[in-house]
Amino acid sequence: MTAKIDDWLLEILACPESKAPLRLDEEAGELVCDESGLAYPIRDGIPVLLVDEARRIG
Amino acid sequence: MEQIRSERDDQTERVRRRWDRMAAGYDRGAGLERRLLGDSRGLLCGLARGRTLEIAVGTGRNLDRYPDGVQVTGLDLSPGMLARAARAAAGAGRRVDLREGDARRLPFPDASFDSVVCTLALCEIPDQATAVDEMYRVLRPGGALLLLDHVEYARMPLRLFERRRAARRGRPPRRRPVEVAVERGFAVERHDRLVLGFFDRVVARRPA
Repeated sequence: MTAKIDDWLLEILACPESKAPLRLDEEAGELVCDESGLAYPIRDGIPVLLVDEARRIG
Repeated sequence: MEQIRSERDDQTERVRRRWDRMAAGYDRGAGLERRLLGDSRGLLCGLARGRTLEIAVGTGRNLDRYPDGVQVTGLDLSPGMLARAARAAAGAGRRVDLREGDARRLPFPDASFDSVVCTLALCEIPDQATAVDEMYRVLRPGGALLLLDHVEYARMPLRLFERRRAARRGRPPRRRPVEVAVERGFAVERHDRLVLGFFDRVVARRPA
């Protein structure tokens, strides 16, 4: 699934844990925080920005 | 510390599931609410300007009440509620950015909104002070906080039980939103007590 998100949206999105900016991984359909190492899913077009729902990466 | 966090998160998960279950029937209470509160939602939302964050957007009941030109971001813990909010936004012909998130850990950078709105929801958030601190953080200096909530727990006789009830649920006792806002640094511009004092409507500002 490819996720489509405007730049404007990414601008005002932050990781709920680190408050650092998120980067969109289009292939995985996830929003990634490199600082906290968490990847947040996008479900039905809605970013799920809950630490408990995030996948720990790297 | 870790233990406390996971207990809290269980509680959050319960709240989330409960609102998912309630999403379908939530709007049935609209008529009664309107008789009690008049157009309090409209009055508050009418004060929103610019980039606006609505916390606990629910089924999106406020979405057609924002002035034109306001860019709304709606946050909720419950995906069931958000699915309804998406339909309400489409019905109101508005572009609303919806996010699933926790009011105690807002997924936004500091000072990113001109207004923050929260109607009939602060009483459901397990830690009011943390939630209000987060509202303060994401508001730009001078930005507006617009709150509506019921406060029966802060009044007699229920006030007598609130402490015990809160202890049982492992959360701090709830207080009037206006008191929490002042304590966390907001300047209150307007505070109305509605429905015999059982509801509070608050317009406050993060000092510039």
